[in-house]
Amino acid sequence: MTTRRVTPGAAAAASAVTALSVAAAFTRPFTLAAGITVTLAYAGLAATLVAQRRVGTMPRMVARRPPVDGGPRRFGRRWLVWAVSLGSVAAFELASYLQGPRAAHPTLSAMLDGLDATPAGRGAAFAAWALLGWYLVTR
Amino acid sequence: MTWRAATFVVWAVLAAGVAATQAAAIASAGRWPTLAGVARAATSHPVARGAVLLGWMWLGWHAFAR
Repeated sequence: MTTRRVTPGAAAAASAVTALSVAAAFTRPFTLAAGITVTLAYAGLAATLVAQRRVGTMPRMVARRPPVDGGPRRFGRRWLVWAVSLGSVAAFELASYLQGPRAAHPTLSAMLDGLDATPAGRGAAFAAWALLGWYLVTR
Repeated sequence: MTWRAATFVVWAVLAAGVAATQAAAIASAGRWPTLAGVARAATSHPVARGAVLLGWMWLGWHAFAR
């Protein structure tokens, strides 16, 4: 059995994501505060990339493990099921966007508006978005 | 059934489809790629990775600051 170790850099980044998500929970769209929290998340991502260049490694969320699906391989039939699945989501999002009114044909972001109408939902959504960005640069 | 309710039903079906695909990929023990494998493949090229990061930035601005 392997032990998943949280690195110091990851702990610091997790603290920053938590603090920023709490701050974002109490902002409203179209305000300066909302723009600042998103901009700070961009800055955090940039800092992570700079740290990677200087130290030679990223502050990872957890120690690297081999992928359960064997890692990337040549594109082929094995990717088709994901192309259909995610392509259907993209096609329906586009169809919903082009049809009106929005109340009758809600898009993903319209549904997200309902989720982040409360501070708890907004903070959770912000944390999920920030962690996605972190994953993309540290994976 | 209203258009709004029908749209929610379709979104639920699509979400179930993505979840089922992921579950099947995990159960296949490497024969089929997981969603993380798709993300790895999609960001394996530096240009594609930059495009995905730009998409992430747009998503954050659109969802939280706009």
